[in-house]
Amino acid sequence: MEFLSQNSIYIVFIITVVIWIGIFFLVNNINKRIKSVESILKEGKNEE
Amino acid sequence: MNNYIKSFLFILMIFVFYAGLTFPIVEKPQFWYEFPFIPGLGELAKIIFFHVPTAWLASIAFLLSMIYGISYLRTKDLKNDAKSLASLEIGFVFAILATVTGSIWAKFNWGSFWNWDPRETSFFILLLIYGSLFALRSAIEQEEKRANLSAVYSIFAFLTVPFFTFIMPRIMDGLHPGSADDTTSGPIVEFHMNGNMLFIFFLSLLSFTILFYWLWNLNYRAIIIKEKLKNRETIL
Repeated sequence: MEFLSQNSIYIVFIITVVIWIGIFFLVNNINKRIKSVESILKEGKNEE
Repeated sequence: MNNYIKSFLFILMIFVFYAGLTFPIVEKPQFWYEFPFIPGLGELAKIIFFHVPTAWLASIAFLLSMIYGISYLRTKDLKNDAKSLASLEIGFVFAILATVTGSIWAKFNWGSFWNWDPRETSFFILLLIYGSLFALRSAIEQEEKRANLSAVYSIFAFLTVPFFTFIMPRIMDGLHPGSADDTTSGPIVEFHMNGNMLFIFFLSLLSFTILFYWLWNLNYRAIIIKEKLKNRETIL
């Protein structure tokens, strides 16, 4: 804690990493959803 | 994009954040993790790892938008129009990010968020030019007509990008580093960054480019899905 209070740039770094982790998993989740919609559309096309 | 590239991007971005934010700036760098002091910028030089890639990717996205616009005009394949639109949308987001990050930086270096510096003005005009393209697209119902006009507009719009991004801000006097009357920081990449700083800078460009590709790919697929569902509704 003393290290962080003397080197506040590391707090900025930690916050940035937390935001990046959030963005990464959000985009990855959207990727998965798009993939599942694509496969549903493909199955629908095959059934037609 | 496969999982290896995603994992690589995840780690690379964290390293870029770590290096870009925490590596110290010193007068005479002696260790590999020290960056050189750039006159006129000091600690504020660190924005180069985050602001420049966003502006760079906006230019790349607008270039891609033009390339797929030309492809559409040659092939009349609407997938090319979707790729052009996907690139345009992501590029516009990166252009706004470049403007916002630059504006916050300007507050601390130049004293106010907006100074109508040639670089700020030229980028603002670019935002208006590409913002108009969205307005144009939303005003046309017919797919082929919309794609045709959008492709032609994206070609003419991109012709202005090199002038507004690389030429005008360098030949005019201004506050931005690299302006014609800049005697302190000058063209930073060419003269003031040492090997280590350049290495981190190019890693930053690489990581942001991979992120751009991922977002562009997702956006393109989402546009295609939307079009397919719209066509289905029309048939039903």
